[in-house]
Amino acid sequence: MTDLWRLLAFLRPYRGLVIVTGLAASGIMVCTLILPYLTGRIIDDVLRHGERGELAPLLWAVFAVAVVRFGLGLVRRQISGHISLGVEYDMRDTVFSRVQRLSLAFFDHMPVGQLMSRATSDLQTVRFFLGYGLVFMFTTVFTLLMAAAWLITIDWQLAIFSLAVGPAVLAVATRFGQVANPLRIDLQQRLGEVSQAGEESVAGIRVIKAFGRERERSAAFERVANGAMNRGLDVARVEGVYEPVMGFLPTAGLAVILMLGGHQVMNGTLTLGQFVQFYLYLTLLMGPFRSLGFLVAGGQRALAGGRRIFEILDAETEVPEPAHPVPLPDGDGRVTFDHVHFAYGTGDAADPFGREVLQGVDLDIPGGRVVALIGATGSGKSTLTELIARYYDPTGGRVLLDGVDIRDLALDDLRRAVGMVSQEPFLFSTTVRENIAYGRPDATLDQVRAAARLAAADEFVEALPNGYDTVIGERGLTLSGGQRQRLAIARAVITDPRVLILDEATASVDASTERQIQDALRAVMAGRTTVIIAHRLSTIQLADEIVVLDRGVIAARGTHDELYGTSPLYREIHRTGLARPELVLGDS
Amino acid sequence: MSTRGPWGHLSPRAEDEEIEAPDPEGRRLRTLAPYFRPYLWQTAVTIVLMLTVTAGSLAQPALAQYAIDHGIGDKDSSVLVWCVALFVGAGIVAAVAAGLQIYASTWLGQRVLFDLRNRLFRHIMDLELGYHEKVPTGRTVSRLTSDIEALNQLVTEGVTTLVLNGLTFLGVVVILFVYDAQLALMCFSVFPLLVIVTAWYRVGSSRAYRRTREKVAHVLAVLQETLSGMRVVQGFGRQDAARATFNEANVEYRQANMATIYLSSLYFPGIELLAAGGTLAVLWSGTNRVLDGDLTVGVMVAFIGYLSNFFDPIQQLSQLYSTVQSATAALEKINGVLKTGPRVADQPGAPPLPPVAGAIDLTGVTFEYVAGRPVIEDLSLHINAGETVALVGATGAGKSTLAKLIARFYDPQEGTVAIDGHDLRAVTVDSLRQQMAMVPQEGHLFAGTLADNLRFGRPDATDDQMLAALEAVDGGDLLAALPDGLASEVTERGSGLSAGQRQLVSFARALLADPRILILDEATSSVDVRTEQRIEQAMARLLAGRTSILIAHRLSTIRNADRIVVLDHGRIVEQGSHDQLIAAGGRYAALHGDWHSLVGEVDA
Repeated sequence: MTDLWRLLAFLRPYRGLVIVTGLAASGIMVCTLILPYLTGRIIDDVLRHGERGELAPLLWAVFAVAVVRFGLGLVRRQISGHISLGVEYDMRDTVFSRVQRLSLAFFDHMPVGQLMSRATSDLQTVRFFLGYGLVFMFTTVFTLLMAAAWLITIDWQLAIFSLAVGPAVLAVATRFGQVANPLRIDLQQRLGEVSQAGEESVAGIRVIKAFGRERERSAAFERVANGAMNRGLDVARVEGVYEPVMGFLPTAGLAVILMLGGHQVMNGTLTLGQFVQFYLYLTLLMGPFRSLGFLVAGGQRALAGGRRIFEILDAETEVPEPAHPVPLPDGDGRVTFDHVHFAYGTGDAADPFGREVLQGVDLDIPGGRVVALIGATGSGKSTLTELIARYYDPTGGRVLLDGVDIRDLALDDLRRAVGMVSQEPFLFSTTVRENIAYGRPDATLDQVRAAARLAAADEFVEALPNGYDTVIGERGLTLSGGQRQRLAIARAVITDPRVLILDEATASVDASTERQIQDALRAVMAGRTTVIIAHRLSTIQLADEIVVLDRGVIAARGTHDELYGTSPLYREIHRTGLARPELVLGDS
Repeated sequence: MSTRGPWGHLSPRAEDEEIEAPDPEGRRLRTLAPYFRPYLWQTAVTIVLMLTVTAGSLAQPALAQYAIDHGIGDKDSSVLVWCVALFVGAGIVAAVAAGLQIYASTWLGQRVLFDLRNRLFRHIMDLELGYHEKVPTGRTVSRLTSDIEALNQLVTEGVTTLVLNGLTFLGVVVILFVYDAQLALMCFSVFPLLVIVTAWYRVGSSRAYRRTREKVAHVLAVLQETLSGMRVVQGFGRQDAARATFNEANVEYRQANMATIYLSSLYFPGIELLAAGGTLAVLWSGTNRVLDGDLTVGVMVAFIGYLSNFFDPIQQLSQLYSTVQSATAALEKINGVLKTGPRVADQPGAPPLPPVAGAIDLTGVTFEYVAGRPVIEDLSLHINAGETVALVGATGAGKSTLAKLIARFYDPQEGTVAIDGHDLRAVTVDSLRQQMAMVPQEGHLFAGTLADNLRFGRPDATDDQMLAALEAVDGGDLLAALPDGLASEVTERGSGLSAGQRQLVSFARALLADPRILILDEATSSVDVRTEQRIEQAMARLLAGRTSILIAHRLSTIRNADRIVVLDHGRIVEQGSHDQLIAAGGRYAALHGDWHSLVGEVDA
């Protein structure tokens, strides 16, 4: 019930319009009911009593009512459309801005595909219900009540018999929803599986072809498609039972009226004219009676869709903005980890925290220092850097930037001060220039170029078909991993962050490119605190200090010479855990 | 028909049409007819059921009219009872038929689309690699999903609406004429106007719905991109800018959709107004004629009752129009894919390739993806059975293309590729691939268990054979890491297999298939030295005793090859062993020199 109220709250900005459509829709219903009344008058007064003179005024009245109904119909449709699209727009915007404020932890549990389907198909069901269904439901009930009142004035006994159909339809519709909706949800799930099966095979087409397994994959796909088909048939079976019943109930009502009313006319307790009028009204009510069922089902579905949307809106961000942010003091970018613990939430209520990834890290990085983080996969290197940009908050201890707990800084201030380059950088499908200037949209072309030059990207960008205006990404040119990372470095340095975090790409590049990247790194790191997750031996050489992480704790730190002498773990990693340059002939 | 918007079935759908050129023929719904052919009698049953539903519903007002005129009006109780009994009977028949018809229509629609979907999937699997390299995965998948769903909507709901309403309309026309031709003609007087208004709506809405679909696609594209790049958006604090971009797309969509609403807000009430006009004409002429005594009241009541059945179908059919539009657009795209013939296909009556030793001969091979821009040019190369050849060269030199020609992912425009003297074009593709395995750069794993992935190339492999293959490539480390052994689920992301481990699995997979010829595209991503040593050992085992073509990136791999073939712009510029090439002082020696100086620096 509260969910229903929450859904209705989305109509609040359109209160006035909802009332107008409600009135218009009621007006249309009244017109639709007046028309048979007028027809009845024509039959009764003109035909039975031969008052030919009354025909013309009655026909004019019919005409007038029809014109009014046209006008009201036009207004109702436009306003309903406006409301429905408005609600859709508002909800989507709300969901979008909400999602944007959520921490990355949220995205660890909610795949993009899920979010997309909530922001689209769930939103659609809600919008149709709020925009049309609700008003329609209201007018349907209103019509039924009005008609009921009218019918009772003609003959209350007949009226009660005929109106008993309403509750019967409602009962069947409710049951229908209970039976069909779980099946429909499962059908959606299975259609999702079909999509997944298709996607997997298309993405893996090389392997499939290489082993000549096209037939087997097709057979596997058919099995999944078959599952969806059978579920679709299950839904049809349920619909095939309930929908005709909902359709037949009003017919049965009509039959009762024909029988009972017919006898009353024969007994003389009802005039033929009255009966015809009664009968015509009932035929008019057939539509509303039948749609009652569909409206109930639609409402149930909208409610389910609404709940799925509320799940997003209710998600708490795990990195909340401080209530009273402290301004970032001037500083040279000192980063301090003070007994930091971290565990990823597993999303499992019984086990809210998974394995501890960081188990008490104390690390002070003076401003301007270049630190290389090394350690085996899973030792906590990436997590440590993600805490600096506050993609996550530590589960224990604190992280300081220039002496301030980063949880006390405004997120925007913090993230402006911290530049990040991830291993597989995400670039937007727009021009190279816009990608580089992403964090500083007002940058001039010269500034963009300077950043690119610093990141050793200028040369290959100039060689692209449209230089800096070349569109890249999904709808444009595909760049190699090395090129993408250099663009990401340019994007990070153009904002001139105090702290630069770099997760080195593992893709091999040829020797001359590797040298270029090393030169670029040396340039961008100058005068900046830099934390670099190093995978290459050559990168280690650029660092002022090396920090060795082992299972969530700092195992050793120092310069290469110090560590080589004192840390067996460092010696081991140095010997076998870091990549030497490859003789790569290709990707550049 | 349920209320659905122009995008009732929403899943990300890129509305790109640049790959498949518009094809008016592909839009024709009759291209669907062949899919109905296997289900002729089921189609017939469905149509009979639809006729029954229509007849049952149309009979009711007639029976009611007869009951009113001859039962109630003439005070004949038995006529009344009979009529009501028939009335209820007709209702029951209509309801039962409707129930069966809902199931039958769905059955037929689901079957037909199941067949179409599977045919499309098989076709996609058969399409040569070039197609898949050109068309993004997402777009191909949407052919299989949202486009099929758009057709489903038409075939199940749409056809039902079309047939039921079409039949009702025709039935009503006949009934009205049977009742009274003169009144019927009065009523049809609004028909020309109706046609004009409907034509106007069709043209306008066609444009408006198309625009709406495009705008929706745009909203989805922006949404998808922002969600995927959330890390960057948040990292640079650009939420407001992202929201503004999204807002723009959202507003454009809303405006485009509003245009469809303006159109229908005029059209549908307009139809009602015309219907009222028809009713007025009937009332006016009918009343006068009843008063003049040449029409009964019952006939007129029935006539007016049927009138709504006359105008309703027209509205319903107009509402169907957007469904038809989405469906034809989808059909066009599907037909576009189906029409793209696989360029590599078995010649009729081609024999299978007999078991081979594995000697490969390329003779005067020229190949171009785009006409006039050869990627491989007049290239000849002989590879002995059992030889290991490393292909080296810059990106675009033609290494992968050469490998793909040997695996017959493509056929060359000129020249021949032969294995043990059999021209590949003269034998079946399946028999070739059975004796060949290709290990791509990224070890692609399919959702399923480790075992499913291992026996991919050899479905009848036993557990022991799989364990032996795993043992051979990584000494069992991988198994130790997976709690459920061979039964462990290894989805692409979930399992947490590293890139190196995935590669080892794909090695084991190839080892198990035990091909005569192996084509290996070496991964460029560097792994730590430990894993790399494993991979090197595994590769040595994998290559032993078969013809191997390596698209090589690592010096160790290259150095161990029997022969190095250096490619440049589709031609062989140098070939020989490592030592020979170093001694020759050509391109290979130059690249090696670069590398050597860098390694010297870091290891110092």
